[in-house]
Amino acid sequence: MLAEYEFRDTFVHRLNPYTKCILYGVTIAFMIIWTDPIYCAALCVLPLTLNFLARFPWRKLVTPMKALTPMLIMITLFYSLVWAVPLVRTPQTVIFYIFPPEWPFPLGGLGFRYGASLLAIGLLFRIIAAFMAINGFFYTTSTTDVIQIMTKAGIPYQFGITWNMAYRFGPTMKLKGKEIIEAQRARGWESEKGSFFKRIMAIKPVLVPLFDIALDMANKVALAMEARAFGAKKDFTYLKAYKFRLIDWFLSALTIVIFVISVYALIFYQRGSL
Amino acid sequence: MATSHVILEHVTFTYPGADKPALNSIDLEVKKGEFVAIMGPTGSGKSTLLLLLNGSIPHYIEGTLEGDVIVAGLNTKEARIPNIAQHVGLIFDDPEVQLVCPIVEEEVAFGPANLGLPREEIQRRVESCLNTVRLKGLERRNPYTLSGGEKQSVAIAAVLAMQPEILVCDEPTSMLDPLGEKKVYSLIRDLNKKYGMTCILAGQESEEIAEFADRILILNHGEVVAEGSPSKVFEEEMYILEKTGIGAPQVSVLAARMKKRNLWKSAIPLALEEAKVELARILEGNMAKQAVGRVEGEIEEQEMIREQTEGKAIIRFDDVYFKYPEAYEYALENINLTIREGEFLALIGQNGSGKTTLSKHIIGILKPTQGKVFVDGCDTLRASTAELARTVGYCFQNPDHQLFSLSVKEELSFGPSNFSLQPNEIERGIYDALKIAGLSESILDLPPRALGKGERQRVAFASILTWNPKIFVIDEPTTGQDLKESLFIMDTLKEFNKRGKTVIFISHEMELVAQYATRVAVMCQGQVILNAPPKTVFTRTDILRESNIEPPQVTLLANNMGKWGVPPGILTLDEMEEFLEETLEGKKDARRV
Repeated sequence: MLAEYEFRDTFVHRLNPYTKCILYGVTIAFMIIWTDPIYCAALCVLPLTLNFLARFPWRKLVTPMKALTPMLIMITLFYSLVWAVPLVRTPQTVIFYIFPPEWPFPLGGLGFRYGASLLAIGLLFRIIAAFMAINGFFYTTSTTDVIQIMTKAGIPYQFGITWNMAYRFGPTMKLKGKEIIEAQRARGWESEKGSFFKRIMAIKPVLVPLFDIALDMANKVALAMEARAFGAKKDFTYLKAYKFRLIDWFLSALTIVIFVISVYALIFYQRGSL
Repeated sequence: MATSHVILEHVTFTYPGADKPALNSIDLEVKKGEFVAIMGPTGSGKSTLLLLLNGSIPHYIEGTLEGDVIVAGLNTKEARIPNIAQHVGLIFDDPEVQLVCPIVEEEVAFGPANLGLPREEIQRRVESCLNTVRLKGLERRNPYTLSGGEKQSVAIAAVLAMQPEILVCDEPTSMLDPLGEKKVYSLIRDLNKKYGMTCILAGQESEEIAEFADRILILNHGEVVAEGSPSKVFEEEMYILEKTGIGAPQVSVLAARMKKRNLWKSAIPLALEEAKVELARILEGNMAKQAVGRVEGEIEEQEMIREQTEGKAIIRFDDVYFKYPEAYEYALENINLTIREGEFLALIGQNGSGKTTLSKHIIGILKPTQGKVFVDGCDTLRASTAELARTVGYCFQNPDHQLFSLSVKEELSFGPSNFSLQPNEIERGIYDALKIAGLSESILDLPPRALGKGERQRVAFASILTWNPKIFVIDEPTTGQDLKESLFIMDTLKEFNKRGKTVIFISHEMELVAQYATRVAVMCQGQVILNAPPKTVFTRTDILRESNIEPPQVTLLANNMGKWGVPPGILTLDEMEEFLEETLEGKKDARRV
């Protein structure tokens, strides 16, 4: 699902990893606190611009977006239909009923509400913004840099490298899974047929080889890492030493100031919330 | 006198639960700067021996170790792996599992960084190692986007950055295409010859080993059965090589066979050039004109044979184009290919040329983006993979991708059960498949994953035979197998083909392609650039060069000896032997007259 890091000589790639962390991190923070669809739509502009400047390969988002679309539609419909919590200040006016109010519970009165629909649209933009921000961050920041950030934040290096392994071998395992499915299909296996229980049981020909391959690969990777002195010393020397340049100071300060003002505006003037 | 860099003293190692040792009483001394090659069949103990050298055994892999392993003065029982790693660099067969970082330079820096070296020193090592492995300019690339050969070069650079004195390679080219293989071997040779690094390599590539190694060690059932210089091993130990199923360079085998008939006087050649010189001397005076006439005649004959055996078109690719999702370029372009019933077709080409993509279209795992594929009259766009599988048996390269059952019997019945065959048919299919695949009935109750590599491959192979498909597609059936196992698999396919089945196999091993295929399709950048009988294909060196394919050594020898009357396009050792016998005996007769 996540974009893989690619080296490009772009403005975003050249930024200090901490600056990128702040820029993309603030997008995620806004995503959590804002609910107003206009604000949320505007929120998409930041990762969109950053990714555009980083020459992001948009084509790589096609497959994950395809997978995400049904979930987005479900969320939008679900929110629009059932969200009626008074937390939302916007009137809960019903745009139209799907089932008339006189029908018995739980169907009775189920319909699209104005406030809930706005919340759903806002949520849609929030998910898209977060999706672009996370992909943009990992596309422009090497996992080694992420580990460097983690260790400076006090997280043990071993934890960072474990996370790196999961990130690194995730796509490999996905590919292996695909190959196993193909190999079993070539022997007439069909997972889509039969009852629910039968379909669950039918996964066995895929899961057993996949676990076996995962264990074997983990063993070999550990062996290869040991052979390169992993864990020999407590300290790990990072190849790059990043400096905080003027542009990093400027962008980080600007982003933090905007964030603080936005939080203030949200708390005291409800700007950004429904 | 050169000092001993590696010493193994009476080393015996037994894996937990094993009834016999994987290595038995091994004594070995490797001198500084020496290139030692370890050859042996699958399961002979080669990898176990190499894992002893960097301390993975006994520190990481459990078992009972007797005797001592001294590497660069360190006893591996006492020293820790990270300490040994500074003296011994270990390269595995699969480059994928050795690469853990997102860019090449970070990958190379990983080892020294673990040692906590200063940043400037790491940067210096990274630059120097990337220069050594000829990867300058690829520093910022993602290693997973590189070719197989380049990935393995990154893995080598990554261990070189630790500045080891000894390089240990476990079948480093077994997963690479011929181009990658050549690149990695030339790199290892340079490290040994130019930089004086001690190299210990396990491999099956006899031609390269004969050329580069100072000493060869033959292992069988965990014991050293032969040892010596390449010329000694390939001359004096040919019987052991044959017995253990280890390949020797074709020119060496040819010379050994001729020597038996007293037709080869000088030493056994190890390389093509040496063989050319001696053969030229033997054939001196032979008429070139005769040879030309003979070649043309033979190639025509071959074309005719194909015409005569042409039958019903069982697979047809009509203007097929295919593009993977998210890809910018077509993986298959303008494919027009007809495969006839009863053909034995080889698909060759370098990695990424589209061989597997093309073969997956036959069973409907991939559907054409444009154009149509017909299998036994059925349009693959209108049929599911499961439906097509009834006609097409497709065997994947890695048996571990499909074996999942608790017993071999269950595994073998998986396919026919999916096709709802009757129990008696399934039973019959299982026993027939076992027989064809050369497996014993005693393994039926054993878990397939507990079998050895060769047997696992045979079970995977047998599991396709159980429902008796008309077409058999097999992807690199001999990868990672020793010669004996490879020949067995190919003979089985031949047998299958003789029964009227259509066989399509993908391979990088040109000797096998030349020996078994009746037709060869050469693929390059998603297109079929040559589609002809092997005799024709292997004489078109111009086209083969474009696809980075090298004909078998014996064919190269024949192609280069036209001046001395040897017809180009000789495919096998038997053919060459027959030709030489005829020519030389004819020559003798003429002299007598």
